[in-house]
Amino acid sequence: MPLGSGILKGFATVFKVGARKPATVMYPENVRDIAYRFRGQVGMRRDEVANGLTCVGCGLCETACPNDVIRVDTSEGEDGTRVVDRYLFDVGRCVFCYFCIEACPVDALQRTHDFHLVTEDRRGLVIDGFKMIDIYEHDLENRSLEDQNIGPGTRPRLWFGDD
Amino acid sequence: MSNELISLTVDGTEVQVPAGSTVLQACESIGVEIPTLCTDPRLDPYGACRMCVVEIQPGPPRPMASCTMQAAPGMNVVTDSKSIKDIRKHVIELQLQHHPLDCPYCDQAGTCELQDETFAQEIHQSPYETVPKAHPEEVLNEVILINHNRCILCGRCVRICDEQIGVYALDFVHRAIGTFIAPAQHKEMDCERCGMCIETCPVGALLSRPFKHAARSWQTDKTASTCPHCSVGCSVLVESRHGDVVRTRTNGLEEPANGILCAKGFFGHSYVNSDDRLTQPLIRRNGRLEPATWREAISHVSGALRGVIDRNGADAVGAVGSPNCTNEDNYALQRFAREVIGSNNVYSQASGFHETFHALASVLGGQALLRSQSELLESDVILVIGADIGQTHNVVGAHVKRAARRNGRQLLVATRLASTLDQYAEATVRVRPGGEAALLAALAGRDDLPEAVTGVSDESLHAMRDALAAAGSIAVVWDTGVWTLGRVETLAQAAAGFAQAYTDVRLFPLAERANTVGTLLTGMAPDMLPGLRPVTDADARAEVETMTGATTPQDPGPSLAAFLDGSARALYVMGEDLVGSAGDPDAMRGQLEDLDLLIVQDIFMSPTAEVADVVLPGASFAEKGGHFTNFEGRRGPLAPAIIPVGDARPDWEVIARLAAALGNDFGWRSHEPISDELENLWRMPDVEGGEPIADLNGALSQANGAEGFTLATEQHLYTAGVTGRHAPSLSLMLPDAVAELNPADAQDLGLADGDPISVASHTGALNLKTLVASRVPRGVVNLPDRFLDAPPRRLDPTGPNGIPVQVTKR
Repeated sequence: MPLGSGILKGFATVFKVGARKPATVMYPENVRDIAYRFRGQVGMRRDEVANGLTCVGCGLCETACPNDVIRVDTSEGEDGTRVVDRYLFDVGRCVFCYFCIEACPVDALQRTHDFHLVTEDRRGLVIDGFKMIDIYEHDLENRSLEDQNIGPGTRPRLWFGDD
Repeated sequence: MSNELISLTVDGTEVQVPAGSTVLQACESIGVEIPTLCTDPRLDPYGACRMCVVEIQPGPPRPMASCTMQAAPGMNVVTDSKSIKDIRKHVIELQLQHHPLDCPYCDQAGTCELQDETFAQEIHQSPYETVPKAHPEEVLNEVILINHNRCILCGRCVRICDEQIGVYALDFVHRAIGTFIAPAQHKEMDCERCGMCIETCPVGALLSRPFKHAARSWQTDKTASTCPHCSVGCSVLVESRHGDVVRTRTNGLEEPANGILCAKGFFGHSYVNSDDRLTQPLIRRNGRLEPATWREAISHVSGALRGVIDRNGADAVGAVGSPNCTNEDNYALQRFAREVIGSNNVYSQASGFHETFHALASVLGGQALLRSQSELLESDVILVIGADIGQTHNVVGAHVKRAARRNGRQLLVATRLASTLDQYAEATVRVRPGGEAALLAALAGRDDLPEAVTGVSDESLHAMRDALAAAGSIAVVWDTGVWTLGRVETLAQAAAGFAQAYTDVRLFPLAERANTVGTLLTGMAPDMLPGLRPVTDADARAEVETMTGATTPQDPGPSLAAFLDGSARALYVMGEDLVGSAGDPDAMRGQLEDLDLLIVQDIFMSPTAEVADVVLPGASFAEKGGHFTNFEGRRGPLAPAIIPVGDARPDWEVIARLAAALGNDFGWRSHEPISDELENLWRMPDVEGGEPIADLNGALSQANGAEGFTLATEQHLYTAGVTGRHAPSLSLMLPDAVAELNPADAQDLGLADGDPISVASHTGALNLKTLVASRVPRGVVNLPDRFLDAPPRRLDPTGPNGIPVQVTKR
């Protein structure tokens, strides 16, 4: 091999790669396209009638969760039904397995594509149900049309009253 | 059930069971599981649900309910044939036709027997058109509600209320498809609020209102513990979640509870998480109690105690223990006082039981006391005297009712007020308030006590005497609560006389609070060491020293009153409200204010704590380990269900830290070493009897000739002192201090429920609210004790029971 051919080969590689379209994007100014099965933060559906959480406080998500992420505190409401006093979700512990979404009997929990989970304080990783509604609704607005009703947990389920 | 064994075959396996067993029991004895919905080990077989059907050969050519079928020799039982499985599946499918599938909303989900069976029978879809019922939930009373939609009509609530509690507050209404469960007249359910219907309900039909929607059943941590309310010492299962006690339930079928609880046991736990709990140490600075850290509090208390001991000597320091605290707490306090401070001034306020015990033991011997509940229930005749134990010790009352009705015991009731036991009694008499001891003496054979003294006619008296004379064994049961105040000695002597007049008499003086007996046996007395060893006995002191290393001063201390009048300069009060429970609260407050140092360790801010120099937050029953000693002398274990609220600490730990700060570390880092140490010292009292019975003539013949009302002081089922005040569900049942009046008397005075009323004696007056109660006889007014703002002993500090009072409308 003639002297200097190695360095030329090196330069060639550098220029070739340098001219290629970059695989990375300048986050957070630019964001990559997300596969529609991508597992982002768990969101919550808004109960349009009561303008609150759809959650009925059954605690199945809390039970299904392998990582002790969710805490639901409930009490008796004025009309005798169960009301959710507080719905807490610790994003810092979540492994995005979506067991909670599977468990939810009223489809209150929903998948989203949101992965902007960064905070400056660990305590900011614990979000409540209303924050989860915001995340879900914001995510819904920014999703493409074909994404709207597809994916685990968003399929309407047979439940009592609608069989 | 006899001991004779019979043998039969279950699914090809040979089984031997005692004659009289049911087929269901035979199957369960070899582990063959048979699904049931209407079976409860506390109840008789009923055969409502038809889930337990089996095929029996030889036998009728149809499936038989195994729960009601008696096992017979040579039976061949088939439990798992295809047709049997089909029937079971069919039963559940039919139940689900009307049962709403609202499991995510239902509090019973997770412990629901119908839910479990639906899974076990692998039912995924109903073959029928489902017609869910849509009745609204119905509130039955302050604590119980019913959801008829979920009811499967197994009748367990109806039966447990009838068979176990003896109240029979619920029953089936209407017939066939229209059947539902309701209280009499379909009105409010006026029962004892024991919650057993909720407990036994296999589905979510009967629900606890305090627990409603507080947690899902599988989310709670379950801790076996002992009920803190009365001296029955029922075992309870404390369920907690995220540091809150959410409910208590029955725990097992063992003695003494035998699987049931009362209103206080089932609903009276919520004081644990009350917002009024003391959560941090308080030190008085510039006349005000200000928050402090434990480090500050311990060093402040140890320094101040050291100062008092240096100035006035160890005899100027005293300690008051509490029947609300565990054996370990009380033991720690008396060891602290005797060893670290060097003073025998150790007290507890449970005078009623302690005095009764000493008086009876001196005559009959210690072995005659602290007998087991089974001995009570197996006696031929059970005589209840004075207070209604159905109110004061509800669970024992329920067992007595059951013994009378189901096991053929003769129940004689001689209470001041109409009692909950009356309807099951062989004979019932109304004793005049104050005449209880006289009645006992009269029953024991004295003929010189007229009806004016006892309130009982000669005819009834002779009938009762005949019943007693014919009995092989007699149990005498009486509560030693506030009504015995001032009469403890007389009652005890009369009971001792009674015991000597008949054969095989078993005496059951029932202690008032959870650990009253424990304070007696852990040495919370100025003259007694743990295990009722006399302080003056040098051998006993040496024995305690060898076993624990703790030294004891040799001179017994004076009584609490004498101590406070005399040398007292500092007092350590643990879990007791001296001011609130005093006959003259102002005088007691004055005496406590005069002390150089008053340390109060409690779970709530009591009137005593308000005058304290240092207030230390203690832990409630659900937050610490230890033992309560019940009226039988049985020790019921406590286990911490939650971590103490705020900075509260278990009482033994505070004392141990204080001892360490004073240079004497006991080395206790958990309650177990204390339990072990106490275990070595523990013994049932072996007090020698044989002393003659005191002459009671003067004490017995007091007839109440005065005009006006006679006062009875009988505890109400729903009053539980300071803990009850802070338990919302109990406060709902009886919110205010009341005076109970006969309906006719109330009408004469123009009073209705809730009207303000004044009850006055020669020494004081109390302002209360009227409660019209048919249980009170005419001419008697009853003040339930343990309302802090109106303790009846304010009407007569020496003993308010039976005194004449004036009742006026305010």
